[in-house]
Amino acid sequence: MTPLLSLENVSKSFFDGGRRIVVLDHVFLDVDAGVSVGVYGARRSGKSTLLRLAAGIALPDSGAIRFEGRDVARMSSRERGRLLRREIAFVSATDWRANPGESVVDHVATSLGSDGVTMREARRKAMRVLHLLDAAESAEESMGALSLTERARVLLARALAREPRLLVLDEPALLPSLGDRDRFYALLRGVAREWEIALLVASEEMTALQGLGVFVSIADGGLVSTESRATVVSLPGRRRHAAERVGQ
Amino acid sequence: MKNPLNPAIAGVRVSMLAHLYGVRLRSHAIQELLAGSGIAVGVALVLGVLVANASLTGAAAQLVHDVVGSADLQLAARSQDGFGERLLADSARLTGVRTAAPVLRENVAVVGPHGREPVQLLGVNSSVLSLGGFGARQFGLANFSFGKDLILPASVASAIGAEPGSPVTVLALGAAQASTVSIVLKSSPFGALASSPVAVTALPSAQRLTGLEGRITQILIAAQPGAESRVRGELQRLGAGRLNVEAADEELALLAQAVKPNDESTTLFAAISVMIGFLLAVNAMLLTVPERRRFVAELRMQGYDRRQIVVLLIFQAAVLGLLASAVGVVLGALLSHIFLHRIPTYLTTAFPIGGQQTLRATTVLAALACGVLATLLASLSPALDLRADRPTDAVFHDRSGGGEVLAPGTAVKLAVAGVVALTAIALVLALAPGLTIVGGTALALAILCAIPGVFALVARALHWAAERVPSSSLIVVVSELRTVTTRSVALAGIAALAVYGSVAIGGARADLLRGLDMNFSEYLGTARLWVTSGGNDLTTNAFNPAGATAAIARAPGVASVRVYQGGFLDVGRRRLWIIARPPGDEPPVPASQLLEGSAARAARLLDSGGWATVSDAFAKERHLALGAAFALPTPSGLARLRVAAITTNLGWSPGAVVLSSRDYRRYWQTAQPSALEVELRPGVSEAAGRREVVRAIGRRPGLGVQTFSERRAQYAADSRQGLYALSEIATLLLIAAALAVASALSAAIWQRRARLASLKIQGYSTGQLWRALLLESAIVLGIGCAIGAAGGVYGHALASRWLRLETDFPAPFEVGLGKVLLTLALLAAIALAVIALPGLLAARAPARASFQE
Amino acid sequence: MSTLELRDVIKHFSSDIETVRAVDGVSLAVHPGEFVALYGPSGSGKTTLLLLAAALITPDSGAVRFDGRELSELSEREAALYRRHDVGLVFQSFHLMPHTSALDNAAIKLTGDGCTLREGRRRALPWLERVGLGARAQHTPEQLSMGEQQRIAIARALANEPRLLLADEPTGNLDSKRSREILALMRDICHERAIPGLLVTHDRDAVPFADRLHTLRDGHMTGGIDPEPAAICT
Repeated sequence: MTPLLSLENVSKSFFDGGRRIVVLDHVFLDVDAGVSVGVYGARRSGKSTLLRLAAGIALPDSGAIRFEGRDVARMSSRERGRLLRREIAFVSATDWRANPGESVVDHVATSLGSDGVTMREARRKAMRVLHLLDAAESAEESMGALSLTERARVLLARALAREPRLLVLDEPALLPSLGDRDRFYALLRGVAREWEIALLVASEEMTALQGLGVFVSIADGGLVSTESRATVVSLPGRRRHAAERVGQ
Repeated sequence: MKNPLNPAIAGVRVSMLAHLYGVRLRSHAIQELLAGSGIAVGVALVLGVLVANASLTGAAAQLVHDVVGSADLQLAARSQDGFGERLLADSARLTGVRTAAPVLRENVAVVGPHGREPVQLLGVNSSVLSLGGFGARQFGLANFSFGKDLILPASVASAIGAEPGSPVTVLALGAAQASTVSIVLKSSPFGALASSPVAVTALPSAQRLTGLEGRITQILIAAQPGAESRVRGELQRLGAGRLNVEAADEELALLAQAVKPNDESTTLFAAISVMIGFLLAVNAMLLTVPERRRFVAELRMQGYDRRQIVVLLIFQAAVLGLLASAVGVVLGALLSHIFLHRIPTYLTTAFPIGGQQTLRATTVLAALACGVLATLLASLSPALDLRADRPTDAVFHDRSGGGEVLAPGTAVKLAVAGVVALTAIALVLALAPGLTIVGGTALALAILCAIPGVFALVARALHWAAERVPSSSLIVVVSELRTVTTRSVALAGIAALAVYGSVAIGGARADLLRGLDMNFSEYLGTARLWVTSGGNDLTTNAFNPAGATAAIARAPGVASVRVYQGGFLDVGRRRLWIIARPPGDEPPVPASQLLEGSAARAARLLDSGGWATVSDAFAKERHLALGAAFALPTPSGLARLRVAAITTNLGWSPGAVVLSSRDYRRYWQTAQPSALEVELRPGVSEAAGRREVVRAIGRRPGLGVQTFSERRAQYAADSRQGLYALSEIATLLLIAAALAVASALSAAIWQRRARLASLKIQGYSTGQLWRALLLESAIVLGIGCAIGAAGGVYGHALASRWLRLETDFPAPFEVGLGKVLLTLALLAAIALAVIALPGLLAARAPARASFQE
Repeated sequence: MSTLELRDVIKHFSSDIETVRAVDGVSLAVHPGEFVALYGPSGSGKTTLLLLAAALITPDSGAVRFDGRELSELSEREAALYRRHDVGLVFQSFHLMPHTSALDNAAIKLTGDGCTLREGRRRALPWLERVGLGARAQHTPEQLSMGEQQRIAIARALANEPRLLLADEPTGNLDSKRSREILALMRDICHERAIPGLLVTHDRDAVPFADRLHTLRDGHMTGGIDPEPAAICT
């Protein structure tokens, strides 16, 4: 069975002030339908890059990213848009700005607009999802007034509203209260199980990722699986190249 | 069930697009408002100038066509005495003539309870209605008969306080006659007629009022289809070389020629306004780029594809562009109504120009289109993020923050391009001064190219200073100057263009006024008192003195009285100003206006008879040199004269001819004066002299007395009034530019407040920050202004040169440094005053602001 | 003695971007030569404490004192001078001046105090060398990596030879190796110059470098650090 998402021999590097940093070094990762994968990595280890590639937001320097066997890089802009609209949902708490005055339900509803629904239908769908996540009381509140915990839940609702098959989350709940954080992850795992959504979650807090089916860690440009029973196959990456100076 | 009112464009419903725009508006209301106002002001400027351009000739065209209707040709008198009525019957009898309508046109003044207005009296009969003029077409008034009373347009009636039935006095040719107002024409449906300075009455009545019984000045001819050229030939035979045979609307061609310099300079002005307007719109939109990029990135991560994003961007730009442009159109109409409503009086004595504004639908649409286009172009930069090679969320990882920085090489390339352009312009214009208008526009663009280079140079200089001078502000300013973005260039560009336009046009205007003042001062300086039929500005209306000449001569303080004559003569496409000087006028030709020949010699030749001076353009047209022979069509036939000297246009755009009054009397066959020049005995003051002359004139209400100073002041006021609108717009432009620059600078400073706050963390006080911001703003402005001023001085020199070479106007070039500095100071003061407060607020931003990106 | 002292400090405020948590009765003393790490996740209020210590905000109640001076009583100008002369502040989003050399950036506090640029550069250069950027002193931030930019910010903080070192997530943009270098540098400065240093972070790397550790959660402070299994990776 083809995995839902698969990264094949993917490499990605960035330029940082004249130096080339290799963030991902020929990595492999498979995510099967309905499976949840946790990626643990320290700060600046490349977790976000990995997730952005998986979600189709960024393109790799080499290698292929396949969704159900189809190469994402070779898709047209419309097909890739459809991918982000219906199949994959990406949640990143850091790359997010509040629009002052926008209510929670509207914030969730606008993400459905690319499907051609009217605002009213979108709001109805949004309310349904908010109910499911027990966040309906804050539906009319302004996004800017939410606590970090409430916001994490709303961003999740926004992603789930599109009924994706793969949910990619980049540090979705870096919350001050450990209890809140654990409750969020429990909710996330429950929803994923019920709706049969594949999860790809990254965090720098290892304890947050407990309970997920597969556990991968990322460091020095490579992915390492810590569970031998995973359906993930990965190769330890080569050591990161010493800082090469390309140009001055 | 799809709602037809809410279609999906590229898969997104219109209601969703509107909602998304609403979200943006709520979160960035002020930016959007700033952007909108920038666009509105730009559109207003463009529209205001376009309307001003069109109004002058447009209104006249309407009036002329209202009068002549469907007439093809006219037989026209060459002097205001007109010709005998019997020619009417002769022309009506010609084969191929369908209708022949007589008209008597004279410049008169109508006096009512509240004041007096100069108008053109039109004496007609019902035959003019069969031509379709005078509203006959609109109302089918084929059988209206013009009574002996006056029909006045609403504009004139309200000016003099008259209503239907009011008694009025008509002052014509120095005499006063009583009359009554019968009808007042309201503006709709009579259009141009209702706002033009005319008065309509039956032909016999007009003849009586003017004392020209049995005479008319025009016969309007409608020819049978296909017979026009034959009729023209017959009419020429009838005219026997004493009358003009021309198209019925020839007036318009003459007017077009007369306002050509006006038109061309307004075109230059319009071009600069369009550039500034466009820059204003673009600059305003550039401010909104960073947050729109983030908005776009977020939507894309929620699954909106590229096509949908483009649709969204276009939707927002279209909505904003349309709304802002609509506001701009209203503003522009208001602008042109308030400021450009006045018609230059010097033109109204020669042409029937009304006050109606022509706001054509095409003009409005053009302005709207400009605004929407500018908005669209400026909104597209977030679309750059849509390129295939960029990750969707590039903006969140972008470190440049706030405007696209210009590559360092670009500044040099632009500077070189600017210098090359400048050299090219200088060369081309040295050889072909007629291209000055185009050259002026190109010059404006060239100076814009210099801006990035100057930024770099100034930054370097300041850095050098910072190394040696203890100052907390300098290094901050240097850093900002080096971060040359498209936005900062646009800012400085607006300032530069506004100053350029102001200095160049203001300077040329000052030169022109100085030249005109000098010219008219010499022209009027031949006498200490002037007696005229009042109200006419170029001393072109003859009157019947009825013994006044002798009476004045007898007055005790009066040394002598001379008879001055003058008028207008249509020669080819020019309505020439004819000046006939009596012997004793010293000098007959203003010495300062001579281009070729000597004043003394010209005076002698004029006196001897058969010689005249001509203005340069007329001489060039006919290839006349000093001493060459030429012919003028006069009421008695062709007058053969020789060129005594070549002059400027003496202040009248189509040109002027000066000859002796003896020649005038011979060829125009009239001894009636257009003015009486009075010399006083030594020791008699002008005031005293005037009192005596007034007494001598007695009860002739049609005559007025002015001292030399009074008349010179009147001419000076008229010159200024004609050029007034230009200076008002220049000021408005400056103010608009200053406000735009200030608001853009404020917004830019506001967007930087995180970085500013971080300086606070490093120990900068609010005061230090504020001073740094003011210094930086002053320098950015200063760069723009300085470049604009430099370009403006050169532009001023070019414009004055154009005035002298192409239009013959007297316009001696003088740099006027004081005015340039004043312009700079005005712009800088307004802008800094507006920045001061937002700058202070930004400087007071809490240091927390730098912790929240 | 130049001690940083916070006593029963309470501060509540929220902005429209994020609700910054209250600081609810925190007491803390950092002595000269001590390098103290305050650990806590985002939103726990640790940034607030730093802002208080830098006299950038004033507490709702409680005392914030440095060298015996009550910071909340400083006028705006005095507070600016305090930061200019006494404090070295390093934080995660450090906002260097664009298109300006590393050396000119590092000297900003000195030029802000009335030195000429030349004089400022002379005094800032040794600090730039100390953070290992001596060879790249003429490069502008656009030409340098994030890690190098962070180090400029540190040199900038130290160039005025402050008597108090405050750092807020200074290693947020750095990988582990660089983080450790920076943390070691800060600790050494505090020891060498006998000045108090307060570091707030949620980076576990800081643990071995601090002389003392505290944790801040929900506005309250505890000693030591929350138990959480260390990352074990094979």
